Amino acid sequence: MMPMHEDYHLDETVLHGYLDDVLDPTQRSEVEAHIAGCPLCSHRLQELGELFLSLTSLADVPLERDLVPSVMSIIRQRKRYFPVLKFAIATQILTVGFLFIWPHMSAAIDEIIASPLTTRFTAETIGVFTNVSRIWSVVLDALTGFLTRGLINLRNVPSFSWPVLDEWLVVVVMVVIWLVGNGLLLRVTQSDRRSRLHQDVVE
Amino acid sequence: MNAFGELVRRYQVSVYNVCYRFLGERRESEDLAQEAFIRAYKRLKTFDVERPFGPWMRRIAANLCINHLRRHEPLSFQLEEERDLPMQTQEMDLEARHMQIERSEVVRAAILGLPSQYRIIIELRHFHDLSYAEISAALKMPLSDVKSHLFRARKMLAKRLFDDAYA
Repeated sequence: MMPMHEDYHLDETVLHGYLDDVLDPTQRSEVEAHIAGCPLCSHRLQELGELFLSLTSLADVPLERDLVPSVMSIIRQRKRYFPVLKFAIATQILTVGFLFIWPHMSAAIDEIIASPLTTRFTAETIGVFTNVSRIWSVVLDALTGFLTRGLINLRNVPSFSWPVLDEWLVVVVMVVIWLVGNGLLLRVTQSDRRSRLHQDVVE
Repeated sequence: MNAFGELVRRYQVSVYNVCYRFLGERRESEDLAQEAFIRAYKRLKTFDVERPFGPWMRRIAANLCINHLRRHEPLSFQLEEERDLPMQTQEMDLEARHMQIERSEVVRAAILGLPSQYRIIIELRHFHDLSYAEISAALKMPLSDVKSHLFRARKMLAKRLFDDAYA
């Protein structure tokens, strides 16, 4: 039985369903039979049909500029810089990861150094990195505290016996890698932006 | 890559129009259409070559537009499916063409005048040919809500377009 208005007219959902083609064959037949004998519902259905037609026959708006050059330019740009970007991001992650995670791994590091399987070179290398991370922790403490407390902390930095060149070399190399990574990231970002702006100007 | 350039050339108008129906602003629509193609290029490996490229491409554009609208209004749904609609070709004289353009602008303005949720449902039903159930799944909305929103949106459109009380 079809849903009807109290004056025996078709319900709105039925009209929509009819035009959306979601009614079963029996329901469609009932609708068509009612429409044939009801001017009001016929008019309502016609109006709804005109709305549907207005939407489905909506013409496309012409595109004012050709997107092909800008799309292809950006794709080429990103392909060229993607390996560089990956390297830059990797340097950031490794640097930050090393500086913040290494100090928390002291127990594991001691075990590795003490292990008979660890070669002397490996143990010395691990020792260098451990000292570097200790330097970093001290610098961090000095920076995060108040100025006077920071100065006191700096004065209390344990002195390292020479050769300390290894530790400082590692620090310098890490700073350089960090700066290079940042520089590459900045360059990739600016190149992408310049490419988009250039396309805008050309268009 | 040249082949992809050819795809961009072939589908840029339809993709642009998907964006334009959502946003109603040419510059923004061009930018989103451009971004849609770039995303499509990155996801080319996921494209099923047995299926037509157009609906897949327009789906990406529609998802981008929905995300764009979501940043400005609280929406949280993605378009999952779009069917390829039959192309309509017509031959008409200049006057008829002019009338069609005027009429299209009126219709387009009426669509853009809808609240964005209604606009999206109208777009999915009438321009991407999704069923009620597909819209419900795509928008994560109960079926009854889809129907009531759709009917209400149509009522609003009819009122704007035909200037009389549609009931």
